[in-house]
Amino acid sequence: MAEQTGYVKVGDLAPNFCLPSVAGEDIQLSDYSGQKIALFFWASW
Amino acid sequence: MDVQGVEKPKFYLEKAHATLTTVVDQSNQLGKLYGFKAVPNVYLIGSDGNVDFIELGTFNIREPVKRSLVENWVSGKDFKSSQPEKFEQETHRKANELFVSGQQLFNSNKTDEAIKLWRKAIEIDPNNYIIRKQIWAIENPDRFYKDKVDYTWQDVQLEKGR
Repeated sequence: MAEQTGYVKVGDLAPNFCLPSVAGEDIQLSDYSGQKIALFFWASW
Repeated sequence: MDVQGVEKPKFYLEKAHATLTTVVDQSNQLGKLYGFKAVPNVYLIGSDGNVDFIELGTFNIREPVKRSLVENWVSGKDFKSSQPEKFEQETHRKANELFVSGQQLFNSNKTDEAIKLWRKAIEIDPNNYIIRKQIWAIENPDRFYKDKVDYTWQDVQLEKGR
């Protein structure tokens, strides 16, 4: 559902993504499945 | 959410001695996937993979209220979920397309052309701070990367409608 609209709401399954970490390795949200995840979004500006 | 690449966020992570896992999203993939156009945000995701809590554009873990909210969520007690208001999807989508095109130009060192596209994006979607602040950071690096981010300067820019 969230994947279709692109707009995540409380109760939705968190969409998975894969991005490079600052240490240079690829990280997927699903690497942490089964654990609680606090996802912070920030920028250097 | 840094178009300019890994070195910019690294500067602040090292300064804060932060140990959390940090990924770099240079093309605002996650803004598009999750549906936000400002930071700082938090999404708290339960062990079942479902979202328990969202706060968009204002989240600051240094505020005691926010800190205890996250701590309560971690320990599983006294937790209230919260839903932010929705953004208009069509303007967000269009602005994001321009942002991604601009990012490709920026990566090929066509900074002026990139900024032109990003300014166009802000015309369509004035509340898109991911794009607005990215322009500021590139045009005025001294306000961002000398020692700390100059938020007073940012307020002045907003008052002037920049």
